Amino acid sequence: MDSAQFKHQVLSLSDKLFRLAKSILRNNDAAQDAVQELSLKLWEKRNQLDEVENLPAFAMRSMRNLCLDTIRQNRDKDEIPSEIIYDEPNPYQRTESNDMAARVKNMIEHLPELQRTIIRMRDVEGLEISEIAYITNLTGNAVTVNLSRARQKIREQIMNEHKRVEERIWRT
Amino acid sequence: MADMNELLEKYFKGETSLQEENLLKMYFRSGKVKVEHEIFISMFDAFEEESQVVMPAPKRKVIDLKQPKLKRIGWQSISISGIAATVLLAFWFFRTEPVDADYAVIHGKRINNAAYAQQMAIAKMEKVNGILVKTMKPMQNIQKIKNSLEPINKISDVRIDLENIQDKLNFK
Repeated sequence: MDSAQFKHQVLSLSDKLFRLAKSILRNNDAAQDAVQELSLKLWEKRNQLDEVENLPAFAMRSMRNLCLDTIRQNRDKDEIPSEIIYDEPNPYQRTESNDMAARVKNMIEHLPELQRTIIRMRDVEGLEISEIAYITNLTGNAVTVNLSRARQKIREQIMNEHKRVEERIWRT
Repeated sequence: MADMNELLEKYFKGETSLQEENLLKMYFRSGKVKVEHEIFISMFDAFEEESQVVMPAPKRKVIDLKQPKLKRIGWQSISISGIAATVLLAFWFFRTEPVDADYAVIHGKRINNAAYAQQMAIAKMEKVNGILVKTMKPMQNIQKIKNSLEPINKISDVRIDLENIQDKLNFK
């Protein structure tokens, strides 16, 4: 693979890779560093990339593995929080994310890593179940189960949120 | 819209195909969403917004990471050169002289034999003395002439005395 092909096939995936890295690492700078690191690694292996059947899926899988390695390495240093449990937003958060779309993003952000990654790969990136299975190293069925759980949780939280808003309105 | 309810249920179970999910996305973007589905608009909006996220421009940090390496090499080489120069200078300043410092140079040759050197020096001095005597001979002749001219010089003194006496006599 020459530099023009690399630019066309790999660097064009930067935004997708960045979104995936950001979803896992929950940090813009760390995600950017991860994308740059992966791009460099792929460039070093560019002669072998011609053998890869599905380059975008391969790059996404490599990105996820790299991000998970980063989390493992930083776990002891507590630089990146491993998991955050979703709580009802406090008044500050309410004013911060007034619109519901921002709150939904916040809900996705608080899903476990695997569910968060899978729901984003499917609903944001529009990947096939088989591609997600390859990237996450899971079976298609396991991907579907995790996707369903993620969507159900979001639905449940959206409905609870609306219920709370309605109750508050009727109380006042 | 009954189909849309079924499709949404299928969606939350993670069983929809990409085509069916595209239909749902179009429905929630259409502005003709049924009241009971309105609470999910924000969810599809969130996915749409997330898909627009792009990676920020490459950070300068990457370039800066390389520069210190070059600078470090530069400073290292400068330091090494400086130390080497100092050692050479110190060696030059404090180098030890040979112990046999008593020697003479005759006709460009170094002579360590003291007796021979002394003999040669005396011979040279005698030669110089002979030259001096020869050179002084005309000077001695000049001195003899000067001495013989002494009485002539006295004639002028007598003449002055006579003039003085004559002046005195005329005055009277």
